[in-house]
Amino acid sequence: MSWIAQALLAVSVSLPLQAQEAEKTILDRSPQEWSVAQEGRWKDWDADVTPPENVRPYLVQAIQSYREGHMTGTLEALFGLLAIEPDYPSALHQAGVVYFRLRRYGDAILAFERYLHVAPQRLGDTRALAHCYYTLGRYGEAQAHYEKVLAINPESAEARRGYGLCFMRLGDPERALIELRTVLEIEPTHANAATWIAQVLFDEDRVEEALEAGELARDLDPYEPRPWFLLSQIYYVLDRDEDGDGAKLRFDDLNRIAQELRAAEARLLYDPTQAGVYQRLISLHRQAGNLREVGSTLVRWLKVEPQSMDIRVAMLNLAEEMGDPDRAAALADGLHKVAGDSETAWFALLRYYATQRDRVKQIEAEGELARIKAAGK
Amino acid sequence: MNPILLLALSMTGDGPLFVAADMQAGEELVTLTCGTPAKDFILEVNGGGLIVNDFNLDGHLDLVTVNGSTIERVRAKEPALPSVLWLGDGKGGFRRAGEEWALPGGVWGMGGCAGDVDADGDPDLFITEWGRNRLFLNDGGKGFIGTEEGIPGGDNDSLKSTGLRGNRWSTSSAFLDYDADGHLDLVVVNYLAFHLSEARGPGDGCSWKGHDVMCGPEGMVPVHDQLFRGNGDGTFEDVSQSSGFRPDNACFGLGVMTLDYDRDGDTDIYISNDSMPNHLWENQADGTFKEVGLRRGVSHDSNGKEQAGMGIACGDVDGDGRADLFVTNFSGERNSLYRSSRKTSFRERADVSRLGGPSIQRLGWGTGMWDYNLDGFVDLFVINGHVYPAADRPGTDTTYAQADQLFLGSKEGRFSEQALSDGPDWVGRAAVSADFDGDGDLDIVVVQMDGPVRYLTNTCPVGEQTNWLALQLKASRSHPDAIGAQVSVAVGERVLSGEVRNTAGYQAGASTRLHFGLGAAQKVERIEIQWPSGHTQTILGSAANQFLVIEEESK
Repeated sequence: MSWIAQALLAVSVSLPLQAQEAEKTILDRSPQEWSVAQEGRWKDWDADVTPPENVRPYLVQAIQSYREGHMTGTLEALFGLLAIEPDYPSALHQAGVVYFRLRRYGDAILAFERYLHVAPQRLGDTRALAHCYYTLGRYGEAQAHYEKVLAINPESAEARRGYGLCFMRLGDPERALIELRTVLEIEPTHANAATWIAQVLFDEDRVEEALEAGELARDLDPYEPRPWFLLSQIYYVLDRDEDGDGAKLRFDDLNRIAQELRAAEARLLYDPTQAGVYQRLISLHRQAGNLREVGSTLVRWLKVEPQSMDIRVAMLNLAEEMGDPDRAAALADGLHKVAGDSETAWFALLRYYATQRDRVKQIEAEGELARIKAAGK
Repeated sequence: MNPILLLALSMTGDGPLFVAADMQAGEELVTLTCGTPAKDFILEVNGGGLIVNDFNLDGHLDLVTVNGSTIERVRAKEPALPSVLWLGDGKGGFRRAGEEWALPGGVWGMGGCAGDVDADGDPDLFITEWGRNRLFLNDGGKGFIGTEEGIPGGDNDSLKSTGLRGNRWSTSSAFLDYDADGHLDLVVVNYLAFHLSEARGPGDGCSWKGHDVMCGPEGMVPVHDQLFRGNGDGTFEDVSQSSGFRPDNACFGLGVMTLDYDRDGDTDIYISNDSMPNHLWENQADGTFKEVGLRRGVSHDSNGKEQAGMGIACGDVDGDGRADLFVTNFSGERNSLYRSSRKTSFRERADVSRLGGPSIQRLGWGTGMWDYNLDGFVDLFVINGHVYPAADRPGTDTTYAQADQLFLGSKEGRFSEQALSDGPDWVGRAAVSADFDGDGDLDIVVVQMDGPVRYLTNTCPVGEQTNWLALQLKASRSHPDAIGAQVSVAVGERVLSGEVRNTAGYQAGASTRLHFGLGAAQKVERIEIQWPSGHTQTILGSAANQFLVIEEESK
């Protein structure tokens, strides 16, 4: 077992006060305040070697917070770590990742560039740096960095996609198409790459080809609004107004949902414990018909409310709804282990075992329900 | 830096094209108010407006500055701070107009436009407000006559005497003659329902990038735009419903542009919406409109995402004779350049044109698309400034005060970015271009948030490689303002094109004068005008570097 796995199993980590400042204040701080280590301080740093004793509690806290979706908590731990060990490479990298997720791209760039400075051998870890450049419209820098990352990891679909998009933004559609098509070779289900291929072709007035790519993108990810948007425009240009209207309707519907999803996700970035927001996300994904994302949201929600029987029951019901018996069985087993005195859990298990015609477990569940009822009296 | 030194640098080509200064009328500093610097409520962020025309008919362009108010004044039921007409002297100087030009009343002014609504030969003035919009009729170049007279003081619901109904938050507006009846009609863009008693400021639960900010527009109620059909006598009829100028859902409207995008001879309307799809209203030539924004590719960005549309500029950036549209957007979004493609659709090409990337960390407002350096290629300027003072806090990837941008056009259709003017970053809003000083190049006036209005003098020297032509059209078979007239100017192998309009996009009214940079050409071979009446008029062999007034041939 790795040191971090062991540490995460241990009881709560206690950090010096410095790292436990109120969540709001961490957002008012900036990587610009980080101290710089003496040149060469981390030249022998190895990501696979157990970190020094003094930084471990911070790293554990950071990783734990990150896993729970607590971006601000993660930053607090990382700021604390970097105060005692300036430029500690994995802290810089993790800070870059967190800032990227918080959409603080300038801060992410500072963190990643610093990471690259102290650990240049880890260039392959910094694909997100290129994403940051790209998002801020610094396409030339993004392109150059993607190129470096791809030199190390040519099979990275995401880096290849970003690289292709840089060519598109910089006015080289042919090269963009080459790169984006390579993404589909690496990852044939990459819906976003298919969408961009359609976009480039449409912009170049290669409408029939754009249609083919757009329909592929739609089929790969039918819940993403953008392929529908593009298809509506393509159909209109092709004078297929009825199809255009249909695609537009679907786009309008999915786009409205996507807007709300973005807003809800943004709220979770700063406070991942809001049950109401998870409920809203689930409702929105259901409106779109995207059961896979309903499941993903339940998994995320369970991470912040691990004691919740309602979430586990919802996950079980969803697996059955999606016709995934193996997953349902696994979830039922998991629920069985933690059901304890939960009437909700045993009732759900009773129903599940009944549908599975598992008479033994059905009787067990009935017994548990009776026990709980009796205890309640 | 010393303004004289700046001017000298600019004229040698070593500095920015424009020299910025606080606008002064004699000794008087021209200022506007829009709330307090804290910007606690969304009502305080739009800034005031600018309207250009020759109101006193002396041949020189004048400027109206539309003033706002403060929350305290509104709570005390005091009127807006006064909007003012500044009379131009044609040399870049201005003086405050006399009492006969006073613009009393209002609650909180936003923008407006000017046009001869009663066809008596002088430009009238329309001011948009949070509250009742206001129409002032021009009394033969001698002063304004308010049209609110006779309305009972307690009636806040309508401008009864003019038919311009509404007590809303209107932002931008434009006159046009959509039904070609020879009378000016009016499109009014509305933002949202803002009630001070319910307004939420920073700390009331709204955040951006993790920082507390004022609330809106998300979560607030958008308000439908309005279309008024003019009767030709200064009165109007609200035809928003009957003309079909009514989308399924209202949007947060901010900017407006008139253009004949499909070149079918009538005027269409483009509206930028905040955080919602932009609208393109296609004139059906039967008195009705159809919304075709998505169908024509001008509603969203190329990611299929609605943007926070603010300013709009319109011009022919690629010389194909068809209008292209440029829209300024929020920080984190690209400004959009919708280039005409095929006959009636557009493609969003901001990045390829080098306009996208440089806009992402800025929040754009006023913009204009003219040939500012007179080299024969259309340029673009963008005025920037954030809505949240909290933009200066860590992690926002932007700032509250921002640099303005000039994008110089080229033969290849790509733009190169320059600073618009020297000087510190500031918080800009509406802007309008005009040749105020009569030197042949276009100057720019800009609304600055919480500071004086800024006057940007264009220092482009007229010389061998920088010639120009300015036109004013006077129609005789349609409304005299000739709004919607299409002009093409043949210069060597190139044809420059323009359309007469009186809106500058965001909360600003433009002069109807057209302006063309001619580069090295000393003359134009041909000017062709397609008048709103349908008549085509051709003028051969005009010398460069002159302001031509062209009247429509009677027969």
